[in-house]
Amino acid sequence: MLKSNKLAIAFYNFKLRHPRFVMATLVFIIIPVVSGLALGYEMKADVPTSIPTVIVNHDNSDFSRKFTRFIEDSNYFDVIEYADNDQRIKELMDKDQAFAGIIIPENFYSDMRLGNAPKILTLYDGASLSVVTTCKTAMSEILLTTKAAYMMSIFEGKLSTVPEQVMNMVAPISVNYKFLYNPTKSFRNYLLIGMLASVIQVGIAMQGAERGYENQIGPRTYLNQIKVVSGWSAMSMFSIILCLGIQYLFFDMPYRSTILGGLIITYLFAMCILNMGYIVGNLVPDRTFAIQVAAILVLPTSVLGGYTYPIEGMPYGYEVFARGIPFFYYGNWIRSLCLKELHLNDLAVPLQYFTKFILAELIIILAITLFKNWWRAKYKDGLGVTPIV
Amino acid sequence: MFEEFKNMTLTQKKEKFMEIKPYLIILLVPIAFTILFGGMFSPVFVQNIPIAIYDMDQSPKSRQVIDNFYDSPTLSITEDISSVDEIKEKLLLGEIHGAIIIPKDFGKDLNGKKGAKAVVFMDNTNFMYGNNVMSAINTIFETVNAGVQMKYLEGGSLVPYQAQQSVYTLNLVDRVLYNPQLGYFYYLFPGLISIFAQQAFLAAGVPILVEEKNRLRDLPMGLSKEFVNVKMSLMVRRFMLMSGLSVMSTMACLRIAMKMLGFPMEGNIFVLILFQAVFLGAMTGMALVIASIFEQVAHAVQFTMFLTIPTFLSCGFAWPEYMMAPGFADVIKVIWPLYYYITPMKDIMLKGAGLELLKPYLIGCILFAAVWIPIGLLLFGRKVKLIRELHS
Repeated sequence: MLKSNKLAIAFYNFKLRHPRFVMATLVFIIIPVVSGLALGYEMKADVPTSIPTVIVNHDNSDFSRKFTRFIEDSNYFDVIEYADNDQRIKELMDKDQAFAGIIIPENFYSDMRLGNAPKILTLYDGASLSVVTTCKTAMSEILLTTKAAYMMSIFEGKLSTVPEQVMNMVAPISVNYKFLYNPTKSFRNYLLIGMLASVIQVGIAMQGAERGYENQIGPRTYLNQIKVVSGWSAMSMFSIILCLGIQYLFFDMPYRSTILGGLIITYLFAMCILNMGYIVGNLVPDRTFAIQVAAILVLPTSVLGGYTYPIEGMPYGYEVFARGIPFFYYGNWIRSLCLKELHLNDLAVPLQYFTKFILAELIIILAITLFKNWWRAKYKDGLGVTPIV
Repeated sequence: MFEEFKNMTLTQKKEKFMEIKPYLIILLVPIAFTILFGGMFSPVFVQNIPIAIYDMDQSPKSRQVIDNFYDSPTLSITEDISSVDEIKEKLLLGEIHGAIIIPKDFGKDLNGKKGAKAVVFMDNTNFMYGNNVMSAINTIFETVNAGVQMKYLEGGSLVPYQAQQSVYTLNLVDRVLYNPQLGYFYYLFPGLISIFAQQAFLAAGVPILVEEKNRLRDLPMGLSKEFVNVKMSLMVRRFMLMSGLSVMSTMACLRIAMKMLGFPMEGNIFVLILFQAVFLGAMTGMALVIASIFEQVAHAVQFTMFLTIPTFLSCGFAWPEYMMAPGFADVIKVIWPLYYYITPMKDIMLKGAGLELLKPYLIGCILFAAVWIPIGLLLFGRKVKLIRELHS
C-alpha cells in the first residue's frame, strides 16, 4: 500500500509540514487562476446571441414574412421553429429550448391596411432574465425599423409629403443613443470583473481569520500585527491582479485607466477585507468557526454591494448599508477602472472610504490588543487566558 | 432542558454548541440569507436612477418634452448642468447613469417639421442601469413622437381616430411568461435557494467527515468490523438528518419568500423535495471527495466556501447552457451536481414544470450520485487507510 501511494504520501507529508504555504498557494494562486480561466472561457460568447426563438405566423402575407425575415437575419435571434399553434411556444419554453416567441395574428396585414391596429405578440421567458433584456431591446429595434418603413408609406400617401420630409415626420424627434464604456453590452465585462474579485475576497477574509486566530494562540505586538496584515494584504492584492490579469490577457477584458490607481485601490480593498477576517479570527475562539464567520460576513456583499443590481432598486436601509461596505466601492470602481478612462484624482471617493475603513479597523485591532494585554496582566496568576481566547 | 443548559460550565456550553453547530448552519443560514436578500429585492422595480438633462435650447417645446421625464418613476432628474463636459465627468465618476442633451434649435426644428434631434448618453458599465434608463427614455420619446405624428396627420386630412390608428397600427405587445414583472428577486431566488442548500450542506458535512477521518487516524490499528459498521451507520444517520434539515430549511425559505414577497411558487412541492434529496445525495459524494483531500477542518471549510460563486456562475443559471463555450457544460455536468438541481428548481418554482419534463435532470443527478458516492467512499477509505498506516 505504501509503495503504491508514494505520491499521495509525499503530498500528505508536504501538506502536514507546510499547511500555510499549501493554503496560501491554493487561495491566492490556484483558485484565482482556475476560476478566471474557467469562467472566462464559459462566457466566451460575451453577449446573448442566437437566442432560440419560435415564430407562429398566422398571417402569411408578404409583409409579415418580411418582418420574420428581419428576425431571422438578426444575429440576436435563432429561429428554431415555425410553429402552427401558439401553445407550442410555451411548450418549448417549458423545456428550456426556446427563450422568445413571436405570434403574428391572422389577417395582420389586411387589418393594418384598414387601420384596425393589429398587434404582434412577443413572448419572453422571464425565468432567464439575462436573455430577456437582450431579447426585448433587439426586438424593439427590429420593430422600429419595420414601423419606420410602414409609417413612411402612410405619410407619403396621406399627406403627399416629399420623401425628404417624410423621415422628419416619421421620427419628429430622432434620438441618438450613445452607449458609453461598454457599448457592446458585454456580459463578461459587466459581470465577471467584480464577481471574480468577490470570489477572491472570500479567500482573503478567510486567510485574515486564520492570521487572526494565530494571534490568539501566539499573541504578537501591535506593530507585528500591522506587519502581518500588511504583508498578507499584499499577497491578496497579487491574487486579485492575477485573476483579473487572466481576463485581460486571454479574454479581451479591457483596462483603460490608471494602473497605479488600480493597484492602490486593490491593495486598500484587500487590506479592508483581510482586516475584517483578522478581527473575527482574533475574537472567535474556534478556528473553523472563525473562518466560517469571516466568509459569511463577506460572501453576501457580492449581492448586497449593488454590483449587479442597482442600489436605487433597494429599500433605503439596504441602500445606506450598501454604501457602507467595501465591495460596493471596489466592485463598481474596478469595473469602472477597466471600462472607463479614469485618472488617479478621479478615485478620491473610494480612496477616502478605504482609508477611513482601514483606520477604523486598525483602531479595533489596537483596542483588542490592549484589552487582551490588560486581561492577561490582571489574571496572570489565575485565568491565564482572556475571556475571548 | 433549560435547567440542564443553565447548569453547564462555559466549556460545556461551547462543546454543546460545536456539536449542534452543523445542524444550526444547515437549518438557519439559508433562512437568514433568504430574509436578508428578500428584503433587499422587495421593491421589485428599480426607481430613481439619477440622470441629467441638459437643455441647450430652453424653448417652450424643449420644456414640454422635458416635463414628460419628471413623471417617470424610474428616473431621478437633475438639470443643474452647465456643459457637456460636466455630463461626461459625472458619468465617468458614476454620479449619474445617463444624460439627455437637447441641442439648440430643438423647438424651432420641431415646429418647422425639420426633424429635431436629441442625444442620450448611457453609462453601460452596469447595463442593468443602462437597460432601465434606455427603456424609460425610449418609452417617453416614443410617446412624445407619437403625439407629434398624430398632430401632423390631423393637420393633413385625417380625423383624430384615424390618425391615432395610423400611428399605433404596428405595435408589439410584450408578454413575459413566468416572471411577468421581470422582478430580479423572482428570477434570482431559485438560484439563491439552491446555492444556500449546497453551501450549508457542505459547510456542515465536510467538517464532520474531516474530523471523523482524523479521529480514525488516531484509533488503534485493529479496529473490529462491528466498530466500523456502527460508525458507518452513525455517519449515514447524521447525513440523513442533515438532508432532512436541509429540506426543511428550503421549505421554510420558500414559505418566507411567498409570504414576504409574494413569490409565485408554481410547481409541486414534492417534486422539489425529490430533487433536493437526490441532489444532497450527489453532494454527499462531493463532500467525501473534499474531505479525503484535506487534513485540517479549517482548510476544507475554506475550500468549500470558495465554491459558492464559481459554481453558481457555471451551472447554467446565470449564463444559459446554450450560450456556454463548447465543451464547458459537458465538463461541469460531470464534475459538479448543481447543474442537475439549479435549473429544475427554477423550472419547478417559476414554470411549474412537472417530473415528466424534468426527468433528464433527475436521471442525470441520480447517475452523478451513483458514480461520485462510490468514488468519494473509495477515496475517503483509501485516505483513512493511508493515514492510519502512516501514523501507526
